[in-house]
Amino acid sequence: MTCEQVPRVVDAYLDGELSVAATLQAHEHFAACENCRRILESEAALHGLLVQEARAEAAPAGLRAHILGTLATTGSARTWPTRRLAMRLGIISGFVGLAVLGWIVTERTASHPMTPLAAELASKHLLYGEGHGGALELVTSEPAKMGTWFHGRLGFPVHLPSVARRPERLVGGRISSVADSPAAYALYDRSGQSLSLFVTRRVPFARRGWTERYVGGAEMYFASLRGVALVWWEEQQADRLYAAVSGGDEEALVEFALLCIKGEQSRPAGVALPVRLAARPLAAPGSPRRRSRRTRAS
Amino acid sequence: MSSREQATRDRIRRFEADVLVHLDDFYRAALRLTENAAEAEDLTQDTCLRAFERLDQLRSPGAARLWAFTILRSIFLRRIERQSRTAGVDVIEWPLLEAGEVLQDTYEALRPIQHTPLGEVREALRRLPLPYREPLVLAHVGASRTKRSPRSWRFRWAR
Repeated sequence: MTCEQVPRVVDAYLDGELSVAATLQAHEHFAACENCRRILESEAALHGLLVQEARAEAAPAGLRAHILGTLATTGSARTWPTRRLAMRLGIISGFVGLAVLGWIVTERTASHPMTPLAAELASKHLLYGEGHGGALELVTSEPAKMGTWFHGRLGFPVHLPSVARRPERLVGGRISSVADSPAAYALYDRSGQSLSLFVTRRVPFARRGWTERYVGGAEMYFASLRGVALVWWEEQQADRLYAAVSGGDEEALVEFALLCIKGEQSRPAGVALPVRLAARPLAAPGSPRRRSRRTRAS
Repeated sequence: MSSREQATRDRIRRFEADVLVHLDDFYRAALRLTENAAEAEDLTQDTCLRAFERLDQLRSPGAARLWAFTILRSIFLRRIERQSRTAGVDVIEWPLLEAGEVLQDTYEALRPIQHTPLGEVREALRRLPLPYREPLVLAHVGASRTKRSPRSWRFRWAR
């Protein structure tokens, strides 16, 4: 320790705030340096004087009695339970408010990569779709035949879109479930890529984690889970829930979804399809199929 | 005697034993800070009343002293802030110095400090700007363990 450092550490030395090593260094320095020892003694004396001065007089004689009297007579003593209760209520409501605010913020900002419906659809898509027909109960490329088969087992009509002029090819289907509700499952093949279509009665489920978009006048909900793109929409009149899942890009999924929607209803006037889709002629239900089955692209 | 009255009495008894036992130190600190006996009494009383109201927050009787000093300090600073707003008092005209910054030169001129009369120390302390006086007073009364203003206080003073 040097003489320059002493004024900076002398106070801490006297108050015992230095580390053991620094205390030993200071001690060593004070033993060797007379000038710094003088500073130390001066500081120690000042310290003593300040303590002496600070503790010179006592509180006025009546102060204690006055405080105690105030506690007993004024509202302080009597009202403290009420005030405490009010304070606690305030704190609790504050926490509740914060929790609600946090929930709202989380709902609006956080991504929900694992919504239950998305997870269920994606896993079933991988289970039935990636086997390329192994898990199917009926293998057919005819939508009408597949629809009849579904109707017989599910009790409600399922209209599958005509894919005659589309790159998708119907592979087959099976009975599945969505959110514990019986569902029709149809597997399509699009250039070697599996595409799953689920059709079920509308079921209530949490919509958080899904991104809502309007495409071609239709309200669709999108999500993506581990490379699997998902979209669902509702068919209000028929009380159906449709969900399409694919490992490919989302655009193809949207095209397919719009095809399903158009197959169910005639396009209302004034609602235009996106240019990209409008340019592609959509096959109307019942239109003559030019090709009932497309060869699978290699 | 109703159970409520009994509870109040017990509370006052606990308050006397844990907090009011340090009354002299509260008053001394208040006196050094306010430099006015009447204000010091007022500050001490307000500190005690608030400590009594918040007695439930006190978990350990051993912490009562420092806890009550925290309340005193808080009430005092709030008053200073209010005064400085209404009376236009600028409590920060003095730059804050680092520890030991001016000591080196002044040591040379020091007479043996041991012989300094207590009144002179008191006067010197009184003349010290509040940002310096406050931590010094509280440290020597035993209200805090350090003579340096906490950083948060410096911000407060510097506003």
